[in-house]
Amino acid sequence: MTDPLLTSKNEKSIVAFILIDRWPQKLLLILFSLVGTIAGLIVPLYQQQFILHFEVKDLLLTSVFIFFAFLFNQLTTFSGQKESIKSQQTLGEHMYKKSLINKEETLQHRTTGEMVSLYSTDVPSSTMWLEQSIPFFLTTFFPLILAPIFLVKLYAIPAGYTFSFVGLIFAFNIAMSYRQSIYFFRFKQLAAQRMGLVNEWVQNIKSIKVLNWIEYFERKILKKRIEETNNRIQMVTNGQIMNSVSSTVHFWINLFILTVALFSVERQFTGTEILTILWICGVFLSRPLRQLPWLLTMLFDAWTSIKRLQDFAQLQNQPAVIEKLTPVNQAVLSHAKNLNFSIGSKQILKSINLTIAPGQLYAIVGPLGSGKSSLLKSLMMETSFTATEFSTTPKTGYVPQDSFIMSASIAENVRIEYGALSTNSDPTDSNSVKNALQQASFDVTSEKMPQGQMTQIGERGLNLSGGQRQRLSLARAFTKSHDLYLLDDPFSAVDIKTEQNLIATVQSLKKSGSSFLIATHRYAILPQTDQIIYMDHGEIIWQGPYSAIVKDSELDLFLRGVEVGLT
Amino acid sequence: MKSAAAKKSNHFSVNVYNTLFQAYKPFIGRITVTLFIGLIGRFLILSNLHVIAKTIDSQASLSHQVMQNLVITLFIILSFAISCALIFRVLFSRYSALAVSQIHDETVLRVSRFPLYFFDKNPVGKITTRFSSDYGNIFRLFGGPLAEFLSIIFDLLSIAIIIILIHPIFLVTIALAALGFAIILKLNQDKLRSLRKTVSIQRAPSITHFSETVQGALVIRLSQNMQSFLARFKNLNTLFLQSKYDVFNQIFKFSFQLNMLSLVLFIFNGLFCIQLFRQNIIGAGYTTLVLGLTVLATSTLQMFFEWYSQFDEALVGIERMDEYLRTPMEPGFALPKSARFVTHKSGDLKALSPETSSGLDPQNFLSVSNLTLIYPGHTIPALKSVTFGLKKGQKLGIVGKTGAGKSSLIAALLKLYPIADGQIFIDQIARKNLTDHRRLFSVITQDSFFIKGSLYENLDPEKQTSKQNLMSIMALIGYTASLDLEIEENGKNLSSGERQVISLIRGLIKKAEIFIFDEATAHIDLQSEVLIQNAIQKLLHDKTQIRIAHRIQTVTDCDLLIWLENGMIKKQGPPQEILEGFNTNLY
Repeated sequence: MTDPLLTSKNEKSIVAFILIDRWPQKLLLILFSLVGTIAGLIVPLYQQQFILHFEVKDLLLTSVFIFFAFLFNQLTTFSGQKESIKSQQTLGEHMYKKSLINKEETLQHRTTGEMVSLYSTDVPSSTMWLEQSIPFFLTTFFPLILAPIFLVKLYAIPAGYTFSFVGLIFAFNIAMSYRQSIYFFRFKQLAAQRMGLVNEWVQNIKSIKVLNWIEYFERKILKKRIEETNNRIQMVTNGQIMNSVSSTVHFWINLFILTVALFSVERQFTGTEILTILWICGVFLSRPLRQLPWLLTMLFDAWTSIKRLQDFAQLQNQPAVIEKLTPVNQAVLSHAKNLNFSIGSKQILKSINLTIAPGQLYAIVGPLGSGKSSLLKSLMMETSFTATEFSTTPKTGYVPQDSFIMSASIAENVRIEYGALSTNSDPTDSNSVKNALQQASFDVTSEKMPQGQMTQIGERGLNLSGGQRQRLSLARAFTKSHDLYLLDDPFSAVDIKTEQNLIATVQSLKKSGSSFLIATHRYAILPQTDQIIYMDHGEIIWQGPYSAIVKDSELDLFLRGVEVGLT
Repeated sequence: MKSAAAKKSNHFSVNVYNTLFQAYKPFIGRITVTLFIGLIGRFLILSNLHVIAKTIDSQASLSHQVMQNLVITLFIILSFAISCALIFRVLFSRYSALAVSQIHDETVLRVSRFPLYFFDKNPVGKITTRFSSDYGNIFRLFGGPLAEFLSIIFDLLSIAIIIILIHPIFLVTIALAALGFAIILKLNQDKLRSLRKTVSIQRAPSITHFSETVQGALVIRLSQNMQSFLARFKNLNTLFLQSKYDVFNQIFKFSFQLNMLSLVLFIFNGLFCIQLFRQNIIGAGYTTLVLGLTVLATSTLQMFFEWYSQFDEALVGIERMDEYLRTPMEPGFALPKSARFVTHKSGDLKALSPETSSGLDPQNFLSVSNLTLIYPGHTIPALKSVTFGLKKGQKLGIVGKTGAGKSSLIAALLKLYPIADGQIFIDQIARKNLTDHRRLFSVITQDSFFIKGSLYENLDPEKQTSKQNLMSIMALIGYTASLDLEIEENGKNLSSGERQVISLIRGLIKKAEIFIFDEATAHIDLQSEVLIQNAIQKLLHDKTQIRIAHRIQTVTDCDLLIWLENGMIKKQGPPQEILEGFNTNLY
């Protein structure tokens, strides 16, 4: 557990990361944008010369500047895209590390879908700042400020008029794009909710078919889809109004300039002068104003994604609070004194005192929700408990209640390592997998795995039965030798014969010195245990050997319920 | 031959356009009208420039009167034109969004009815990307952007018309432009298409891996193999981003070629203008107009190609959804009436009418004859010629080792996989319609599943039974939770025992005739199990039951026992007789 990932602190702000990381490249990006903008602004000046004299020289000079404007605008876009990809790479990895190291309680009930969408949706959209906003920022704002100044200097058109016109369009765009970003935010929420349903539906399709719930799921997805479409339609309407205005803004500017020329300027303009003014406005103002709504929408949108990423990045595992760390030695593998654990106001574990000695087999029994799983997790320091004394061996193997299967080969699943056995066919590795599978009573031949250990098993083990998944999970724990095995209801899905084989494996590992702590609802193993721990409401109510358990009346009843039920 | 194959893979099949047509069908009339309004609007907007140029060239001096007339004319044209453009954009994109959203629903209806082996073969992530990124691309582009794209086409048309009206010589540059753009497009399109396809192929693996890691984070952490997982993610993520980078890189080249062509055209038009000006055919106004429109056409064309390639992506999305729209469904499933698209050959419906049989024992409620199941892709049958009969209310127990075919028997009874041979008669009828057939069964297994929602929704989403009845069954089983209890994704906030109790209640309230129990109580403490057994006795006393035995005790009170071995019935008969042989055989 001394993986560098666990200790690496990466709390710097996402905004700062996006803007400052790889700063020389980002400066270059701004430089490209600046050169492109200036080249673009020079074009109309030469074009004016051309209209006045109709000479080839002016035409060619105009073309040269058009070339530079094209080239540098393209370079700006391209380097923005490149920077965006670089950031996506780093941010994606960061989110991945975070989802890997965050403990269950730290995630605060985030669903798998929500966390996946952080990677698949929010990471790309947060980097839109690099892809679009920064490149367009200069090309938009530089001309917006320069144009009114030009008009005052050259033609004495009062700056107040121009500024108020620009201001009006600006205000309209801010309002519309703000609305747009709200719709867009809502759209992403609805799409994520719909995808949550789609995921649930595909993942559980077998159960859904068996239960005949197909139409229920279809209706549920359809309802969400309609909600999503309705929001989208409002969004599209808003966006199209915004677009209609921005794509015709060039013509409104023409009209505006002509009106100003008509009413508020003393002198008369010549035709060429009018054309030049229109040119300046066309180039200076129409393009930036056309880009403006999308620039703003993207700014707003990227901001919501950045906020979500930031929230997730700030999640920190709460450490367990241990007053005194006791040593692990030959007599004690794991030890807890006065261990308490609560989530919110709900107390999950209460004053747990437990010492686990080597070479022992412990069973934890107790009713539903009595805290058995939480106790196992606490012994691995996966919860934020408090304890006066605590110790645990680092060589701990764990089998969770829900088997986790990766879409990879059986061997890769057992070793929890991609590419295991495929490239370097080290026979000892192959044997360790084989042995582990054997110990877990998983026989690839008799269970008809077409490629043996190398058989690919599907996402979430869709094509393995519950029992097979469980045994695969056990095989995983058996690949390495551990001092302590924590098994959470490991035999629930296997038949009696297999259960006996598995118990035999447990016994043989125990003989070689390992200890087992097994939470279970199946009692076949109880007579073979050294200690039974009975839990209820988060407390250890009773602990002792099997022979003593029948002497306690309450426990006697608990276990006897069994006998009554079966005969 | 090789180029023909490459061509084929890069072009969309007729089905893609057929699907689009079916989606747009209800809106065709309305959309045609909006298109017409849109074209008029865009043309009038651009003709503004023409009006200005004409006024400047034709008037010697711009008097107050001339200017005033100009402003008023422009204002009227612009107002009318913008209203048209607005009507077009808003209405068109609304209709379009409604039309393409049909594709989503139709795909959902079909995927629901795909055979189970389809889901075994395809990882969840691969299926769900059709509904996330593929549908997302379609929906995004066929809403607003399509209106924008059409506006761009209208603009290009209008620009061509206005320039040619100034002087026919500009036909030369327009023809040159058309030729040049066609060549550049040809050079880049296939490459861009295949690069974009790579992006959509590379996307799913990294997302799937991310999702798996989230689900197995604890186990991975403890395995101390985090670095191997991180390396894998880095690799997948980099592959995906690299493919995106390749697209950007190609677009850069593509745009550069377009820009250079535009520049050449600009110079050409400038030279033409010099000639025409010297011959006194056009003045400064028209020259400005021509050059202005040339630059405008350049940026419009850039946008055209940007959208054009994006629409390619949307068409790839439609192609991928279309593949699902036309994948064969489970035999025995008809599409509901709400499905509008015609994607499968008709005539399948007739095959769904139930069959009756005369040669059966009339006393038997469930008659299974010669049932054989071969999993797709396998050659050895998982179940071979299984035959048995069960009277109403009888209990059947199934025993056998792991892999003997117990789970396959359930799969075959529910027709979860295509049955190779044999028939299942319930109440003398073999139902071909899967919904009708499966409705008669309730399967209670340890494979529990949960939806994010209340306990009530998880138990009885179709509201088939009253809350009261539900509460009383829960009380009978000794499970005292509120029906409003919020259950998290995959039942994460429940213990395995609770999950099993809930699945059990869910199975018990089903209005089924045959109840199948497969390890229904594996996670439940034995005290609760007593309550459960009593409840089952009470609730299902008149129902036919099939129990898969993982513990012999659960089948001792059955009326009939079947001992399965290697997918075949080794023995069937009363429990005492079978268990004797089974026990000695096993131990």
